[in-house]
Amino acid sequence: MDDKSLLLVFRRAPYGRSLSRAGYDLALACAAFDQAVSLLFMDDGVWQLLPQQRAERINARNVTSTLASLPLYDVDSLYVDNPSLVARGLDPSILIEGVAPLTETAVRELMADHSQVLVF
Amino acid sequence: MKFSLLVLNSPGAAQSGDSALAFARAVVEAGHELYRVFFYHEGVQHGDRLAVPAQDDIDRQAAWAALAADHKVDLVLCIASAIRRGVLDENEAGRHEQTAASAHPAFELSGLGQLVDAHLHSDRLVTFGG
Repeated sequence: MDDKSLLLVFRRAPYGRSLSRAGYDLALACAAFDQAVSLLFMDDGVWQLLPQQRAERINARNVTSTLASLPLYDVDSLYVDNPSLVARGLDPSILIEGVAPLTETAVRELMADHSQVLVF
Repeated sequence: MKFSLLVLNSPGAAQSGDSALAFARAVVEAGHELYRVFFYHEGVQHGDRLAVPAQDDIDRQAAWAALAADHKVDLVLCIASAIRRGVLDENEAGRHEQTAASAHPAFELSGLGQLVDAHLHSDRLVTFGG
């Protein structure tokens, strides 16, 4: 039980459904209970990392604000799957700060390094 | 082995709920321990006792309740997900000044800490739906 660690994988674009919110809520719950948690964004989940989203125009909660609040709760292990960025023509430099791009091999290692992986 | 399940979709709307139920039965029939079933996101609708299944459909809630009664399985609805979707126990109905409680008594409303706890105390945490 000592080496439990949780990796939350976000694979959906923000706003279309509320599932990613469930993932963020779980990340904050882990922080509240002092449990290690890492976040990985891949596939359409990489769209969550674009800055200057104007979610209020569709009456949605802004995911950028949620992401910005995570370091306040010591949730600061954020990763993005670089091939997912390349496939969508996105350069890592335009994303919000504090997210580390990973190669496919590094993503595999990240998943292997965690005792539990949950997908949102 | 000690298992916990995470159920994310509403009953009938996706095959995942039925898969979770079948998996839960298989776990206990194989002699493993089912530590907790955590219903999160749309999955909390499994606990809505006011939902009436169609006559030609199975009663998934009754099946979960029977499993819980027979094997002392902890069925937990995420409280934040549940109250947003109108699944309230007596406490929450009172707190939010609603006229009726809608949560089935076989299910307990509790916080995400119960999912974190399940992660910590189970050998496997298996997700259904998403």
